[in-house]
Amino acid sequence: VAALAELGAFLAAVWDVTVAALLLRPDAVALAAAQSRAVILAIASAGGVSLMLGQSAVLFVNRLSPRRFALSVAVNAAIFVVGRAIWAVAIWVSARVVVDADAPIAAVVRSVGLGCAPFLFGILIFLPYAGPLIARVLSVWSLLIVLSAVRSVLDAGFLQALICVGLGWLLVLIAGNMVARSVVRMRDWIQLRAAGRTRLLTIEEALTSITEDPYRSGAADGRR
Amino acid sequence: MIDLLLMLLVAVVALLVVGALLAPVEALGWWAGWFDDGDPLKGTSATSRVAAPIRAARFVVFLCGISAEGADQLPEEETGWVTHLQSRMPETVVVADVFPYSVTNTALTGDRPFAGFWRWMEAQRQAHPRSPLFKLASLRNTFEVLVSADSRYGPVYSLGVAKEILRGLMRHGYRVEDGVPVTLIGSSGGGQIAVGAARYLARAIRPPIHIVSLAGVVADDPGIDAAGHIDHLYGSKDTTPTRYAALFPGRWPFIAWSRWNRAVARGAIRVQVIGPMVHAGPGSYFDPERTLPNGVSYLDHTVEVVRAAIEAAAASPTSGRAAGEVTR
Repeated sequence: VAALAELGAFLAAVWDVTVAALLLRPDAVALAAAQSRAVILAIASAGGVSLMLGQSAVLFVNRLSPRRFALSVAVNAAIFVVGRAIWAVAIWVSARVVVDADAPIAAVVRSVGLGCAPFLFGILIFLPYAGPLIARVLSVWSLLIVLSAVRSVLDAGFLQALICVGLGWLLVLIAGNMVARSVVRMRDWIQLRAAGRTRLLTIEEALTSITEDPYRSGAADGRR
Repeated sequence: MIDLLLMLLVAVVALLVVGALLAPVEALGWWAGWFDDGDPLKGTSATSRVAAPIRAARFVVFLCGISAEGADQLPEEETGWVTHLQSRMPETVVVADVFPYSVTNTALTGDRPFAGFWRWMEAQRQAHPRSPLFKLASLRNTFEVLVSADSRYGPVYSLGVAKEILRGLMRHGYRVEDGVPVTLIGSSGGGQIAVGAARYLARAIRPPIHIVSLAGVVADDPGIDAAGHIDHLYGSKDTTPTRYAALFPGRWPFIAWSRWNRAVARGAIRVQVIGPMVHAGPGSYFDPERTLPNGVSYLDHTVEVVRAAIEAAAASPTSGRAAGEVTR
């Protein structure tokens, strides 16, 4: 009973923080700070899983078995959460350098975590035809939450927050391409290990493999 | 009371969203091999023999509208129309047993999840023939049209339907090596399915594929470029084709570089308003009672227009009409 009550309280906290973040309420950061780190981690993880389910067409196209499919969704959700954490660190570094802000790193991580709340609706990206538009809406919504939270944490103006968030994103991109290639390669390796493939094909590549003779039995094998 | 209505509304929206989310799963699951143990195209070779070959001037595949629950459960009006078309084109083989809203040609009441629900619905038809619940099949099939139009799922969906069209042709005596021309008639949502499938069917069938979109809802699909010629026919009182076209940016008139608009400009798509028909029900393309001022029934007139379009395509299988021609 005690464990259930604890779980109920935890879910209530997740709900409160999520609603505050989604509504871009000014008290969202303070509300998240008052809760344990597990609340933000739960929002980011659930958002990651939902987002990966929404973007799972590529897993179907590559003809993954249900077990590999589930493993890939879980692994990619974890990679999403780690990626967000790295982005938060990059924002924190940018803030120190550019606007000389000395906000605690945990607060910036929480801010980026709050930005994962819209991705709880990420599964809607799977909707036929409307999905890609929903994906864009969720990305913009997430960015607005991160901007609003970072602004509050840094006690900075909108433009300063925008510069920090943008620079953080650029820093991750540059680091991924130039400095931490091995990390990116490891991420890709983990993704492919989870999927059980040497390469994930796009839908066009998967279907091109059979288009020369599309109705020849046995030609359509995404496992090549 | 308001709380109850609100809860009901939320439940309906939630069910709609779940239904739409499940829509791509049939095609993707078929491709991924989740629902059987093998190759999704197993047994679908262009050289396979299913029935004794038939000598015909042309093969026509009719892809029904969204209200159908299976290839063997077409609405009565569409069945009558297909029979009439066949009688007017005796030298042509008309194939009407391909259900375009399933990549495995499985009826809603066939071997599939939720078949029990659709069978229960069918059982209610006698007692409550006018129940709005029967619109659920149309809604489910509309979601499949959107799957076909979606660039992420459309290729897989269209490949599956193309496979079933080829199988359907072969069941009726079609042989690829004979090179007999093929026309796909897509009614309503079947228009998009026909255009989508043409992209893959064209790779198995040598002659250019002619498509008749009968009040079709058609997206700016890559299949437009694969089809030899498209006749897009609709009634002046039928707003469905134009209303739904607004959903697809490639169909907007000012997007001149879209596949649809480029095809219209080079004459590969001919848009024709064929009379004062509405989309469905009394006064529709399949209505044998309602007549034009010259006394010809809507059904007869539509069959005649479609027959003329098919014969025009047969006379000039590869060439389009004058650039930008839109007959009204």
